Amino acid sequence: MLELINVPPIAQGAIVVAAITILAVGLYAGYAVVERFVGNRMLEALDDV
Amino acid sequence: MEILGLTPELLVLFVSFGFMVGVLFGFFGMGGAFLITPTLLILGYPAPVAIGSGLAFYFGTSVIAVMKHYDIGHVNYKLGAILFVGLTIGIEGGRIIVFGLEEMGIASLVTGIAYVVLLAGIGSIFLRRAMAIDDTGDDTASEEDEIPAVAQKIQSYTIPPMISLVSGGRASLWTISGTGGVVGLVAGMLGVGGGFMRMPAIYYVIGTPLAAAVGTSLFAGLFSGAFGAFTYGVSGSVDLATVAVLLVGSALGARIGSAATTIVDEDDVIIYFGIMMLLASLAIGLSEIGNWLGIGLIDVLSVLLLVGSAFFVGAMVLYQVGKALRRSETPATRLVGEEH
Repeated sequence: MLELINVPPIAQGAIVVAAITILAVGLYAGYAVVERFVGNRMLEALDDV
Repeated sequence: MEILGLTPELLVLFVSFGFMVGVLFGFFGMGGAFLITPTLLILGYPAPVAIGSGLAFYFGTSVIAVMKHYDIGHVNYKLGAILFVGLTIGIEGGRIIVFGLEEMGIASLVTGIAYVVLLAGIGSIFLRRAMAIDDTGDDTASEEDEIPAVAQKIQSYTIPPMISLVSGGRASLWTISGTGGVVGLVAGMLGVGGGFMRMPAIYYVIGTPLAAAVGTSLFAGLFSGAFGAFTYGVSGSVDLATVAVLLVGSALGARIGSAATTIVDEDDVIIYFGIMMLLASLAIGLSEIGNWLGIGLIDVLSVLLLVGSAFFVGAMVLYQVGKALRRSETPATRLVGEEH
């Protein structure tokens, strides 16, 4: 288990919330970009057919 | 060799399991924490860590859901704020109970039994719905914007202070905060988001139109999820690495699952979802029996049953997507068009 060492309890809670928020926003944005890129490529490929 | 404190096997299991849970719950419109927490319990995580990590996972999926539905518009902020206070008190109460049970050495047993009942209940509801669809050829669930009769009855008891709802009705502050408190208590004890209880509670007990209930539930859920992650985080009971790895898989799966709703008819797979919930309930029951008898093999069987059933139903959704795409004349256009 990944542990936060020498971090006060309140800060541990705040780090958990902040880390998950950043990760979730990053994942959402990252997958949206990939999806748009892949989607556009698929549309271009269809146009070529 | 360990990555983020996880063995490569666990890493692969969590990413793929997160992905399948994301597909399933993106498709059926739920958070999925109520499959994550029991899986962590069966895998041997201490109950507070399994519950804290489940709540943190739920918070992550809530952030993603809110970003996806930021323009939903149907949020009753005053109601959401009062609910949040009740939810917060309930979650904290649930956490105190879990730690008390942990000190007594029965936290895993109690949460395990609660999960057996909860998942069996949800599974039965979905199976009943699937059978109703088979009987009538259509889903009979009503989508009315009216306030249900039971909520009107509850609203008729005017215990001050009364709060005006945007929908025109009025509800007692005690009804709203009490509803939030009960839902929060269950969420805090079981490490679930509680959306499957919160939304019906807002609709049937407090009495707001369905559209407002969905938006308000999402709003209150985001903040209560954050509080749940925080309060378990303060106790050092959130395994950040596990949550992060599960979220990586789940965020991708949820996008595919929600896109699949435009291609696949929910009625075609709802029965499998109900069966999966019953199998999950059985898996947790088996795990508890295995722990009681001290037979490790039963625990392995439980994990296989729980994870395997989620993989099977997730694969069914993906298979239906593939089948529908093959039938479609312009598959790419439909997939891409859905997200815009």
